[in-house]
Amino acid sequence: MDKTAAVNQYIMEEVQDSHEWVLPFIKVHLPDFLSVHGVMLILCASILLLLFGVLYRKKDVVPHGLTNLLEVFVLFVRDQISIACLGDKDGRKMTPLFCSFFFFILGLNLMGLIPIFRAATGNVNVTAALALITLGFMIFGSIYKNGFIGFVKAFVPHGVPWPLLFLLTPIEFIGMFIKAFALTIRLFANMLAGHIVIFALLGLVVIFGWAALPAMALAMGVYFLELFIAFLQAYIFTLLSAMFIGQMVHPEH
Amino acid sequence: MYSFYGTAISLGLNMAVGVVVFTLAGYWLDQKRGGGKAWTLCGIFLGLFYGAYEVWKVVRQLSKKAGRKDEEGRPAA
Repeated sequence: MDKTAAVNQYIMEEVQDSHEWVLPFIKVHLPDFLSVHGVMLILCASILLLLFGVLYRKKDVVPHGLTNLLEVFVLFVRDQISIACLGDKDGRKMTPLFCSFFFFILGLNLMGLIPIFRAATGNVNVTAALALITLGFMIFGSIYKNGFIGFVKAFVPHGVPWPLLFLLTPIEFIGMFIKAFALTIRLFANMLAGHIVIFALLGLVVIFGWAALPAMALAMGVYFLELFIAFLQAYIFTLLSAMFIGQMVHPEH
Repeated sequence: MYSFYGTAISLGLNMAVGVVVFTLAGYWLDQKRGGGKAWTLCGIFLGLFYGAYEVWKVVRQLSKKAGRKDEEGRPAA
């Protein structure tokens, strides 16, 4: 097999889900019901449980250390995302959901940057499941808050001549699903593309040898960019989820 | 203010995904009805219309904000 094909195959193996987890010196064969990305999800959830269930000391009057670090993010999600998009009362009520979104996605994104782990958010099934939760809250949150009639009314745009409503109302309805779909694609594509770029740049060294050594520096740069994107995408997913849910729950805003 | 960033971030991909979703739906309908291009074309145009509609909504939201003045008479951000 020539080098290009080998690099290509390696990249595809790294970014795709499989039942074989390659660790240094050993290959772990996972059972049928569990894939590598599944393991990542479980690991990330366990880490979050450990962080917030055990290490996060809620009772401290003045938080310090790890609690302080985590509280910065929790407060940011509560004040700048949840309350900003949903208002004070609903915002406080929905903060746990958005904090879960933020920390879960952030954890998965950051785990994808550690060599032995894989990025589960680079799997479209994972992001689709997350976006489905948002879609569920958009639909059932709106029905719960405004009733079924209020839910239907949210799709009727204001300030349009009435004949256009026959066209715009169905489009608004489909738009709700398109928004959730775009949410899926945004996170998935960003994470997948970032990882492929890093592997492709490293692959240049394999293909061209010493001549491609500067590509290592570029890969390093992209790695740090990915570190930033891990935070940015977690933020964007949470912000857009909050915004979409807010638009459905308070349609007049 | 943050929700405005959200609108700006989501607009681009929403337009693209809208075109893709409507086009694929049209293509699926064409396949189901045994070939042809009519529904695919309808899907493309509906997708483009959806994109334009999304932009129109953002522009309307922005012009509403621009029309509003704060206490000192400046246009509200």
